[in-house]
Amino acid sequence: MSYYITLHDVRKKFGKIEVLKGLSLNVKKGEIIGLFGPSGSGKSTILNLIAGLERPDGGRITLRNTTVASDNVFVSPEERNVSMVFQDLGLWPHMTVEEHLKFVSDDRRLISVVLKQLGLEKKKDRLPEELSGGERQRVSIARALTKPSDILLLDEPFSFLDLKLRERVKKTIKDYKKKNESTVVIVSHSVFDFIDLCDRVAILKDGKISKIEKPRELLLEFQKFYYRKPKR
Amino acid sequence: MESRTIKASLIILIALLLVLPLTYFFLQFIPQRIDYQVLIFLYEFVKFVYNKRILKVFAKTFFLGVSVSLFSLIVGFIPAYFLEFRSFRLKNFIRASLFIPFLIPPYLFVFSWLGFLGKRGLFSQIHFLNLSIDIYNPLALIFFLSLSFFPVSMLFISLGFRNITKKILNPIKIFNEKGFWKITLLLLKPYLLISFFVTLSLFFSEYIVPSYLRINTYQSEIFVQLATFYDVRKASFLTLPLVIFSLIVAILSFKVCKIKTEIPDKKFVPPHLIRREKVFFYSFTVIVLVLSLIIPLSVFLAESKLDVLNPLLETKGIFFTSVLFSTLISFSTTFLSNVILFYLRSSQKFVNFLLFFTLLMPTPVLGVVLTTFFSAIKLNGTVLPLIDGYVIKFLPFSLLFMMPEYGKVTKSLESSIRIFSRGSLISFFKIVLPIVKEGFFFSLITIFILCFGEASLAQLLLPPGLQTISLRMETLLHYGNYQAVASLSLSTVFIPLALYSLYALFKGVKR
Repeated sequence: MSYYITLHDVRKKFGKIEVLKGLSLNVKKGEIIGLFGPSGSGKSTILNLIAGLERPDGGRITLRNTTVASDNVFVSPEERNVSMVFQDLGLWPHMTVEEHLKFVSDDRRLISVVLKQLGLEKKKDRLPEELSGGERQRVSIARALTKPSDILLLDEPFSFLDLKLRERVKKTIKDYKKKNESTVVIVSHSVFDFIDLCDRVAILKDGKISKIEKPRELLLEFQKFYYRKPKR
Repeated sequence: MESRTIKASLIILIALLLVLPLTYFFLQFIPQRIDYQVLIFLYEFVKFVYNKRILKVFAKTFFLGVSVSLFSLIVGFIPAYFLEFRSFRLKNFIRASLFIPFLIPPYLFVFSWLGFLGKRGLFSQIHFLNLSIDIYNPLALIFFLSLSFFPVSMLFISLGFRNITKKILNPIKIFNEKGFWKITLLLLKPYLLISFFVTLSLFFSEYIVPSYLRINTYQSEIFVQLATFYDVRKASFLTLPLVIFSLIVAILSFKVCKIKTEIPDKKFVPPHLIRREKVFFYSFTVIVLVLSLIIPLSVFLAESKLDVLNPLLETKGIFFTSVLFSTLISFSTTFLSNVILFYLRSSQKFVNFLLFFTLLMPTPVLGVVLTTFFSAIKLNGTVLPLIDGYVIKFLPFSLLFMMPEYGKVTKSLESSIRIFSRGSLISFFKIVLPIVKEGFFFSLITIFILCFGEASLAQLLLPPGLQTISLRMETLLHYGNYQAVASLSLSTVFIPLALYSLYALFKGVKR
């Protein structure tokens, strides 16, 4: 079976710390997969490796059945055609909300639809410094959703959003995925973010994928863990 | 254009501008075949460079250089500390005023002091006693050049202080408030060292001022061999130790000084000056500004007899040539430094080495290296050596001004540029340049001013038939036309003030 995104035996070190120790992951086309794990487990590193922002120390990464990173191949992020929401947003301080989207796409209709979907129409002339944390995060999401791509990477996309907004953004992501037939990878440290959005969730432990589950199963496991009776 | 293509073109350009002339310079010292000629060459070299007189001049020059560097460091340290760690009124105005002395060419600075303390100077007239102070001595040289170079030390030390953010200061407050200097001086050490070496190199670049003050220095020896006797070989002999010195210091600085570009913490509000500090800081600033700015300006005003227009009209052709030339140099240097900082950001070590090496290369060295190279390729006598020389000379300053600005282009910002890139050049012009625009304009203006007043390199590399305003002033000084020099100096000082006002206005109009 051919997969759309494949990471095979990927290794990544930062200084002396080995974050990924031969990690393998396969994602099917059109699938939404979540990456879950404690801080420092390498979730964001996986996204950066898929996007080409980091170079693996070993192993192979293929996108759309083409090798983009291996021992002797490295395709730059500009050539990978992926869209992404960054954990620390990566907004351009001198550009207004609308200018961010215009930089990514010339489709005015698409820009106004995305602005409306994310509730940013009234803020479109504001600079990032004039927005709240949640609004900035929505700008970062809007920018990613304005770039048509069949691979969408989301790094903690809901961290500044309240429950109502989370549901709204989840719906927008699903619409984007349907329209562009995209494969989506989401990183989060909250189990609830994966519910009603992801098809599968990969759990990271010790630099490897320890298991892959359905989001509901993961939630049940969590509930068992938190609501078990204390030992007497 | 592809990012890789731009990177490759950039490396080729740096090689053409700097590496090739330097390699050629070194190659001429390597004999093509081993025979008795080598022995004669070595004998000539040793006899010329290591004779008692030259060694004595070198030792004296080195001592003077070290003294100038130390005094500049002390004078620059005090305002840098108060500007970074204390809040007070007119902070930005004082910061800008303290930087202006560096933009007045040192030879004009000395000219103004000669006009103030000399036999026919203002001081003698004010004093009624016809008392003149002899300023033709090494102490005066140390005094003048320290006052001229201290803003560079201030700039470096400020950079160092900026890295001492709230993250570092807060734990000091909690755990050991007395440990402030123990920790900060340790963090500041690389910046103090680089500031010391840069002013030392600036001193080795200056041969017009020592010759005004009738002090023979090592750099004057090189200048005499090159410009008076046209003996490139002997000039090269004398230059070799300086090239090696700057190379060693550049390597050491590169190893020791990791110039970091922290983003200034906007939330950090330093405490207000307490009364004792207020008295000290304001008196210090007033004294420094009187010595380095007010006296030179007053002498220019008095000597010019307020006739600025006529000398300017008489030299209007040269004036416009200088303006055009300085504009060309400031644009190309600033643009080059930006392209280097953006496209070679992954090669930070290379950029740092380039910065240190070019910064530490004294002007006579540059003059000799470029004369030798361009003579070999039969392009001496064109404007190309001077353009090359100015780009190399001012590139490190532009890199220094731009580096803190590139601190704003954080890793996540850079990642987002790459992910949403619409071509490398579009991203550079639409995203990066607007983010760093304040530094860009500052670099543009400052390089323009430095180039406009530069005379040392121009004297060595300017092609026949072409003259700049700085050289014109120098010639007029030799002829004793002090009024014309003062009038032209006023226009030279007025340009920085006007340009800085424009810059301040631009900053004020910011959204």
